[in-house]
This record gives sequence, structure tokens and C-alpha cells, in this order.
Amino acid sequence: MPHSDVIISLRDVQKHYEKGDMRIPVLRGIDLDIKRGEFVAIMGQSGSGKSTLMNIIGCLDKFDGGRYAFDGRDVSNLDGNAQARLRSLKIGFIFQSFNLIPQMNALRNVELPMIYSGRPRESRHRMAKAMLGMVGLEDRIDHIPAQLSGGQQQRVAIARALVNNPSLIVADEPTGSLDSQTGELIMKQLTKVHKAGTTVLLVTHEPHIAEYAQRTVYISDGKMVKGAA
Amino acid sequence: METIQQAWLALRDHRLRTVLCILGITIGVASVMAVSTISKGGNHVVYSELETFGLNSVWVYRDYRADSPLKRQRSGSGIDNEDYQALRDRASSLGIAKVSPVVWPNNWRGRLKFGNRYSDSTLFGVNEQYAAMVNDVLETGRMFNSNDINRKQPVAIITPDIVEKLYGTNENAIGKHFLVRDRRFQVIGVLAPKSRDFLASIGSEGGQNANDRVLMPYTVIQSLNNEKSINNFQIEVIEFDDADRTGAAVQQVLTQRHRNRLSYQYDTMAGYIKTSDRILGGVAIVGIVAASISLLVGGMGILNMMSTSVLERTREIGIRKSVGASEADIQRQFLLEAVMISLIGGALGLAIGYISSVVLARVTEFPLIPSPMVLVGALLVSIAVGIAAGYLPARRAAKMHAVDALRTD
Repeated sequence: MPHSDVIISLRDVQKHYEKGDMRIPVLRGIDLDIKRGEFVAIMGQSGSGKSTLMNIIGCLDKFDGGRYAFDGRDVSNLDGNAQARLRSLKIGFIFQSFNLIPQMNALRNVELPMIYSGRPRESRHRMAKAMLGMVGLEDRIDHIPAQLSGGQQQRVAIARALVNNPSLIVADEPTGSLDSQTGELIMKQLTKVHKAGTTVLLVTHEPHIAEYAQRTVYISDGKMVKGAA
Repeated sequence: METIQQAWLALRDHRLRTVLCILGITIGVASVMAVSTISKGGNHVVYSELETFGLNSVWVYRDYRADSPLKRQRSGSGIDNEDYQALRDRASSLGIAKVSPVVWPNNWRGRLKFGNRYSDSTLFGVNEQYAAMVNDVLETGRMFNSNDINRKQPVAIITPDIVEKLYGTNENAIGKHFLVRDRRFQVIGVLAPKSRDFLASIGSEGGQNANDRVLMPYTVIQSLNNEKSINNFQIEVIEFDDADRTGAAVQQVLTQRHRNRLSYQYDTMAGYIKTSDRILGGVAIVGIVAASISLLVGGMGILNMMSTSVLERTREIGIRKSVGASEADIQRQFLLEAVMISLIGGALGLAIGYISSVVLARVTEFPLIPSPMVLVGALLVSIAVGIAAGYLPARRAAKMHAVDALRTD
């Protein structure tokens, strides 16, 4: 596979947790390739290591062994600042619990990634408003998270994830805190993001959510497995 | 700019906590400022009162505590008019700008009489240069001159207090007379009042009431004393820093002239100033240290608040990191919050410190000496306290593991 087509390439990635003197393996050698523009779901039971894998792919966490190339560049040994830079410019996160900053209104929450990527104030405002419009919240920009429904909060989070025009969206159980109807709405939004050309990585344990993806990979006990475990 | 706005929002979120922290710094800065302003004012008062004795003054007199029995052989002041002449002849080589003999009444009281009014005052027999040396200024009339001295003219320069006692208030005293030991003196000058109130209040006014003095030609007092002795020399040195050298040189001249049979000692204003600097400096340091402790406590308040804040906002830190904040971004944010608290506190402290300085200056009657250094200093110290108190919490926030931080509730 030529490199330019592959955005994520994991080879024998391993991760342990230290607990006292014990080293508990979480990931036992993961091999995974994701193509640019692909919509991939990672499925697994809780404790299977899928969240850890997602954090590593999102450059939010480090790992102990193996190699990881993101966008053709080896990111196995990046330091904290380089990781932060990569997250800022290339990766958008969507979490199960939305993770909006409660004191800030929708607009400021969406602006936040652009503050750290260094975009000037004017264009930040414009971009954040446009993004909130795209997820259908133009009339909610000055509401704080507590004044928004779960679905609305997750849409703000999607707007926030997209605002720096990332190459990769990582969504960790994005519908886990929502009712099925709202969840469906969110998944449609994510599908739209994928259609627009962004690579989407979805982590879930619900098969009907995984169905939105083009391809599903399964993880069990820290290893990739074939088919549902 | 953006970070400042965010810091402001975060602080506004915990209004009470923030206000209490600001208050801590305010009190600290205000008390440091009040203490330093008031000690500066006090210094100024002491200096201006010491100036009434002449800042370049050296006093030389006989040392009666001399150890050799030989040197105790004679009573008397141990200084005579030939010694005076000798000092005048060698003035410049001794570093002397001006020198005056000082002669006191010998076993008689300095009572001035006018009709049935009288004044018991301190009489000084001095020369024509004395007044200038001790920064005495004439309010009216003239100073006596060398002619008056040589001819032993019975003329006198008195202070306003004496004018009031002898002639009543608002009287022009020039040309009026009074009696001392049945001799008639004419008032030729009146001195401007002098303040030694602060020194007097601590018992250091030099054993004389500055505003109850009579200056006469020293020759006149000598003739009333019936002996040509001089009690001490009032010397003004050319260079302030040479006061000790001049004092020692004069001491040596006198010892030699009296063939080693008498010994002499000297005091210098430079020495007194050194002592007073030490005392005032010590008092100021104690005050500033005490005030600084309240500033330190204020800093602890910020440290405490920021530590709590970092813990409470762990999840927020995780969120910020997940959207791309670097360690430096996070650290800057928390440091800025701490510095903002301390700067606001510092500015308020400056205002309150200034007001309390004004009030204190009124109460103590010390002059208020505004100083831009204090202003700049207080603001710099505030920033420093903020950075010092905010550094550790900010560092801890910056170093937080993003995944763990996101997992907390």
C-alpha cells in the first residue's frame, strides 16, 4: 500500500500499565492500517483495550513498543509538545461525555482549539459561528453546556472537533450518553463529516452504531481479532 | 490577550475565593507601603532636625576621663584662646572650613532680666561664624561681627521665645536691652525658630532648647566668667567624610599644645548620623519584615487557591490538552491567573497603602514623601509573588496526563 493512501499505520503496538510491581498488558501488539478518508469502527468489550488504542491513535497517550506512523510520519517517540501540536492541527476528538468546558458558551468552546492553533481572533469567530451553523446550532451560540440538551452538546463537540479542519476525527462512544434517536442524528452528522473527506475513527461496543462505518475491526484482550469476539 | 480574558473568566467563576486572595495581597502590599513611607518620613524628620546642629559638625572638648593621673591634675576646660588661634592658623591643613569657640557661663545662671520680666535661657559665647555652622538664620537684625568680638561689645542675638518672655509678643526686639549679671546687653538680632521637636521627644535634643538660646560674642562671656577659657570647639569640616580625620587632627594639636598633660575627645555629626541610620534602618527593617510576612501569607493564599483550582479543573485541563493545548499553554494560563490576582491585589494595596500613608503622615506630622520607586517596587513585588505562588500549581497542571485528566469527574 503506498504511503500517501495510509493515514494511520500501527505495527506491533504494545502498551502496559504499571500496578505496583505488576505490568499489566493492555495492548499486546496491534497491527492496523487505516486509509485516508476511510470510516473505520473499532469494536470491543469494555476492558478490551479499545479506548487505550484510540488514545494512542489520537496522540493523547504514549505506548511502550512498536511503531506508529501518522500521515506518513513516524510519531512513535514524539514528546508532549509535539503531540499537542499534532492534536491541535490534525486530530479532532469527540467523547462520550461531550467534554465541553462548562463555564464557556458554545461559541467559546468551539473557538478553543483555534486559540491553541494560533488562529487570529476575527477568523476564529467567523469559523466557530460557521461550524455551529453547520451542526444546526446557530441560535445557541451563547448558551453554556448546561443550557443545552445532550444531543446539542455533542453537536457543539463535533463542531469543536472539526474547526481546525483535521485529517482525523476520533469519536469515542459518541452516542453512549444519548437516546437512540439523538444518537442516530449524531451518527448522521459523523457520516456527513466522512463524506466531506475526513478520516473518521469510531470506537464503540454497539454493533448498530458500528454499522455506520465502512469497515469494522475487532479488538479483544489487547489484540486484533477477526470478526466479532 | 485571549489568555488574559480566559484567566479573568476563570477568576470570575470563583468570586469569593478570588476576592479573599486579592485581599490577602492587598493587605500585604498596603502594609509594606505604609511602613516604608512612614519610615522614610521619619528619616526625613530626623535628618532635618540633625541639620539644625550642622551636618558637617565636629565638636572637640576636653576628655575628663583620661586614665593617667598626670592628666587629671588640672580642673578647667583645657582649651584657651591661643588654642583657638592655633586652629584658625592651620584651618585648611586640618580640613576645617569654619571654627568657633563655644563658651558657657561658668558657675552662674544665664538669667536675662527686663524690668520685672526675666528669662532663664542657654547662653552661648561664640564667634561670628557659629550661626552659619549650625544653620541658624536671622529673622531680623544682624549677626555680631569680629569688631563686636574684639571690643567685647555687649550685644546679643536671641530667639523669638525669649522676645516673647522679655518684651511680649509682636514686639520688634531689635535695639532693646536686657540685663545679665547687672550688665546691659543690646539685642541686635532675632533668630528664626528651629524645630528639634522629634529629637527632643526622644531626649536627644543635645541638652538645650533650640528656641531658648542666646548667642553672644565669646569674649563677652569670657569676661563675665573672668577667665579666658573655652569649653569646646564647634568645627565645620570641609568634607563630610573627613570629619573623623579632622577631629583626630584637632585632638592631636590640642594634646601637643598642652604638652601631653591633658587629653581631648571629639564627636562628629557624621558619627551621629551613622548611629541614627543604624537605628532607623533597623526599625524600618523590623517593620518591613513584619509587613512582608502579611504579603507572604497573601502569597500562600494564592498558592492554596491555585492548588485547589488546578485540582478542581483537572477535567478542564484534560479537555484543553485534547484540543491541542501544550504544556506551556496550560502553565501560562494558570500562572496568569495567579499573577492577575496578585497584581489586582497589589494595585489595591498601593491605593490603600497611599491612603494610610497620608493618614499616618497627618497623625505623626511626618512629611509624606511620595516615591515612584515604591510604586514600581510594589507592582514588581506583586508580580513576583503571583509567579512564585502560581508556579508550582501551574507546573502541576501543565504536567497532568491528558488521558487521566479526562477520566476524572
